[in-house]
Amino acid sequence: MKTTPENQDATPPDWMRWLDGEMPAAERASFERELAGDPGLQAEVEAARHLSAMLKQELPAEMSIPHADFFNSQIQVRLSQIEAEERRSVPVAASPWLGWLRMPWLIGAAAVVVALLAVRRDEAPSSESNTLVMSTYAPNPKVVVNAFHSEAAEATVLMLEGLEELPADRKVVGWHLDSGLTDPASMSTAFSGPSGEVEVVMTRDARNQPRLWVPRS
Amino acid sequence: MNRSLLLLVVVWLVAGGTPWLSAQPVPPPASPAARPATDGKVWGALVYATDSAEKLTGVKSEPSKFLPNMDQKLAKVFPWTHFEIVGQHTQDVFREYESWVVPSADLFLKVDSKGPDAGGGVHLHLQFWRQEQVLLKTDALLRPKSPLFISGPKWRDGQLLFVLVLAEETTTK
Amino acid sequence: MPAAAAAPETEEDAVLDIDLVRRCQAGDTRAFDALVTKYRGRVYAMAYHLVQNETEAWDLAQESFIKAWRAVSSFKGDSAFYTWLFRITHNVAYDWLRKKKIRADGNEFDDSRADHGVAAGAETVARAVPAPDTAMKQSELGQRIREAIAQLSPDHQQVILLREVEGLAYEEIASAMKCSVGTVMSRLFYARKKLQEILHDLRP
Repeated sequence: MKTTPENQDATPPDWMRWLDGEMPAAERASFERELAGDPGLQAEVEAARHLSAMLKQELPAEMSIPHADFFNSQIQVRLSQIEAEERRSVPVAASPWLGWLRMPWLIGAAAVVVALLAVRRDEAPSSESNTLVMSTYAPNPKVVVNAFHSEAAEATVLMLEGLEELPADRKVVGWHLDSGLTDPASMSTAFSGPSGEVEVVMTRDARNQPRLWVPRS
Repeated sequence: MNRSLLLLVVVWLVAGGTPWLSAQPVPPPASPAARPATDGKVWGALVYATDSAEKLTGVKSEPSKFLPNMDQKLAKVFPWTHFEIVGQHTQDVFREYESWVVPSADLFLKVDSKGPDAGGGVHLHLQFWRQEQVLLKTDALLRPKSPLFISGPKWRDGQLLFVLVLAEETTTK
Repeated sequence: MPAAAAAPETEEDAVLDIDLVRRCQAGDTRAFDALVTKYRGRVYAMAYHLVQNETEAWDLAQESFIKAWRAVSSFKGDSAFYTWLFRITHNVAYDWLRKKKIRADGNEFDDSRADHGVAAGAETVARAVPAPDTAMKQSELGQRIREAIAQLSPDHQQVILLREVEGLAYEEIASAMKCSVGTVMSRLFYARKKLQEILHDLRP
C-alpha cells in the first residue's frame, strides 16, 4: 500500500526552526537555554546539522553547464520555432494547396523570418552588419533547417538536423585552394593551390551534376 | 595535352566509366580571355569539430587570416571544443557565372552572386553540396566580418562544419 | 547559533529579474537569454541532483527554460522568479523520472519502503563503510547522497533540495511548492529523518 508520506510526519520540533534560522528572536533565547541543558537535544541538533553540511558539500547549488553558449543558442533557436509555430497556428481552411504551408522547409524559412525580425526588433547596432539568411530550402524532407544569429559568436548559423552521418571509415580529404577558373569550352573548372598548380578539377556529368577529381601528378 | 584529348577524357568520365572522384590527367588551363567580373571574394573552409585533441585527424592547417578566433566562435555555437581546418578555399565570386568553393569533395558550396548590397556585403544564392547531393539551398546576404556557419553531418566522434566568410568585397565593376 | 538561510540573491537581483521578466512577457528573447545565462547553472544543478545524469540534466534544463518561456506570461510575481523557475525544473525532472520508472518496484515513490526498495540500477544503499572524511572519495559520498535523495518522494526531494542546496527560507519554499509553511516544515523534518536513516552509517 502506498502510504501518504505526510501521514507519517511527526510535528516538527522547535530545534528545526532554530537550526534553519526561522525561529523568531523572542523565542531564541529561551530555546538556547533549553538546548544548553539537554545533551539529548544537542545530539539530535548536531546530527541534523551534520546532515545539512554533508548535503551542502556534496550537492552544489550551481554547476557548470557543459557547452554553456551552445545551451543558450539552442534555446534561442527553439524560441524562434515556438514563435514560428504560433504564427502558423492561425486557422486556415482545409484547402489542399495550403498543405505546402506545413512543409518542413517553411518551418525553417519561418524561423529565418523570425530570426531576421528578432534581429531587427532588437535594433542592436550590430544587426545591420550581420550576415542575413533570407530563405532556406532543404530538398530532403528529413532535413530540418534552423537559421539564427549568434551574438556570442558574432556569426550567422544554419543548423541542419537530420543529416545522415558520414561513415567512420570514410577518408575526408581537404584541399588548400586559392582560385578556380572555368573553361567555357570544356565546362570544366580547374582549382589551383597556392603554388599555382591545378589540384582539383570539376566537370559535369550527363545530368549536369558536378564531378570533382584530382589530376594525376 | 590538347583540347581534343581533354574532350575525350570528359566524355569518358560522363559515360560513368570512373568513380566520381579519381585521379585524372591535368586539363589545359582556361583560355586567357579577359578575367570575368567579380562581386567579391569568399573564403570557405571545411572544419572538423570534436571534443578532444586526441580525436582530431592531425591534418596540418593554419588559422585563417579571414576568420581569426574561429575556434572560439564555433565553440559558442556548436557543442564541441576542438576544431581543425581540414580544407580551405579562397574563391572569387563571379558576377555572371557560378563559383564553387570546394575545400573538400565531402562538403562544398556553389555560389551565385545576386549583386552587391548598397549597405555592404554581397547577395548570394548558395547551394550546399555533400558529394552528389544538395543538402541545402539558401539566399543570404554575406556581410564583411560576419561569418556564416553551416552544420554538416556527424563523422567519427565529431562533426563536419562549413564556414563561409566574405574575404573581399566588390573588386571589379 | 546557526546562520539564517542565506537568500540566493540580493534585492537588487530581484529587481533586475522583475525587469527582465517584464521584457520577456513583452516577447523580448534577449531578456530571456540574460535570465538563462543567470540561472542555467542552478537549473542544471537541480536537474542533475534529481536525475544524476549529465546528458539528461542538460536536456531537462533546456526543457525547463522552454517551459518557463511558454509560461512566462502567467508569472504574476508573487514569488521570486528563481523559485518559480525551480518549481518548473522540479516538475520537468519529476515527469522524466516518472516516465523512466526509476523505481524498480513499480510503486514509484513509496517512502515507507525506502529502506528496502532500491532504485533500479543504483548501488545498495545500506553497507558498512569507513568514516567518510577519510576513506570515501567525495564523488562516492555525493553519489550515495543522491541515491538516498532519489528514494524520497518528489515533494520530499524538492523540499530538501530547495532548503539544503538552494538555501531558500520556509516561505520561499512554500511559495515554490504551492503549499503552507507548516507543510514545508513537516516535509522537511520527515525528509531529513529518512535521509538520516538511509545514511545512518555516515552519522557523526
